[in-house]
Amino acid sequence: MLCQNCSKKHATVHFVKIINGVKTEMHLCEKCAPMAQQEFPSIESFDIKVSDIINSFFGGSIGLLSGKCDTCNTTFNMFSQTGKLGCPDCYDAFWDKLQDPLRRIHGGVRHTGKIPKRTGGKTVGLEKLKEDLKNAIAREDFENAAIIRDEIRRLEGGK
Amino acid sequence: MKWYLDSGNEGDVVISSRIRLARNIKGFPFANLLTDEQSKKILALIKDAATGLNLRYLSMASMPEVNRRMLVERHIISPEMLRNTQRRAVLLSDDEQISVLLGEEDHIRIQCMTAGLDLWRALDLANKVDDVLEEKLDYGFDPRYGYKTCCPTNTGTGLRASCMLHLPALTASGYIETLLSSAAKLGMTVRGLYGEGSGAGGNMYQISNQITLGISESESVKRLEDLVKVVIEKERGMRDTLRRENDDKLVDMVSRSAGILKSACLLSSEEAYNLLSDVRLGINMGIIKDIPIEAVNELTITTGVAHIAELCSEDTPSSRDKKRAEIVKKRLIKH
Repeated sequence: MLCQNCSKKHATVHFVKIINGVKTEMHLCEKCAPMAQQEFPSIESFDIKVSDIINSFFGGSIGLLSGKCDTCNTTFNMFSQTGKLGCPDCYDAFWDKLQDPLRRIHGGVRHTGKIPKRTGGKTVGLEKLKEDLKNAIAREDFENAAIIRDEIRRLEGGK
Repeated sequence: MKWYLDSGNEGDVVISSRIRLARNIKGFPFANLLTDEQSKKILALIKDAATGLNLRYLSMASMPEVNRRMLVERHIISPEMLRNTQRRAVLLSDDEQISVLLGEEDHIRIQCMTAGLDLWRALDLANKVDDVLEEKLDYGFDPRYGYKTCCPTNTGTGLRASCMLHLPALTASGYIETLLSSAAKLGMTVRGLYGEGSGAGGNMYQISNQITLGISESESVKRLEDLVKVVIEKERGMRDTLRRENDDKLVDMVSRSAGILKSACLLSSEEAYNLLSDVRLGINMGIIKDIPIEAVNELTITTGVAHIAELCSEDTPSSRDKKRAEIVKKRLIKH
């Protein structure tokens, strides 16, 4: 089959779009294929990107948010554009600003899964949890506060 | 034997199950910010930590391009691994069930694949690999937000569980659209066969979990498994309906597809893929009895563009189509 656009080269890229049962097909060569990307967006382009969530959360004020990770020099502004963090320490550097977007993405903001044995399998200390609880209540973040409260109870009960 | 030749539990609908764990090494930037020097150091560290796992170390850069694309077709590596090959490698088990991707978006991505619906065994395998690596590597981890990943969508467990499903009846009846939107409501994603950035071909869909923070590994796996079981029942129900209402048409379609595969002299990858999907349906519904499902499993992988290109002296679409038809014919008539 020849490319439907240039009619010169062999069509190797095939696009099929089905919207409300109406099927449209396009067969193009590799050179002409990029032009059809707009007409036939890939599944990926429907994905909600992390950067979209961050930006929608902070709205127009995002440019005003400062914050830089001292380990890798990634700024919060850079992160909001790419949706990718620079290094493990970025989580600590941006923690306060990450909480709400994380809750939007995951629903929860506290890890409840596997813990590496090398960290001694230990969870967060009680003191830190109590501080987190106080902060969550101050932020009126009652959903997260309830999770932290339950974890404190679990740890105290286990003593 | 390669794992993908097998048919596992619920193999009439579920082709395979996969667990992926994302991990990063403490004290290094994530892969996108690594210097060449750091990148080399990380690869060496992981290679050393993996001694004892009995995995082959394959550096992406030292492999011919066609072989790299073959790994994508066998779902061993992601298409992303084809870029920046100098910094990327994979650790692979002989049966190809375990692969550890190094230097992708995260430093380490442990992947375990099983045939059919077998997420728990895949999880068990992935955890074992993780435990061995963790003995020597210091992971970026925090008890509050779990395994630190480059993209916050993976932080927490870093676990992505997925199943590859063959859904010809739901696709043909149009119910697939409803299914896709309900899956999204349950925090699951549905994608085409080769993961990110590719459309669904041959009626194959990959369903995976999205949420990784505030949920344990086993809860993620359980939720996906529950959804997959519902989809299996829907697909089987729709196959029964097709059989009841349109039996002659269905038998005709799958038999013709088998006939074309056995006699065609030129087959494009797309055509082969769609015909193999029909034949798979025919075998699973008991209509086609003279082709073993293992042959379809094998050909679904080995008729991919890169697999065929590797066998051709001249890599052009027409020589590939000819070679593909030869391979299919030989395999279907041989057994």
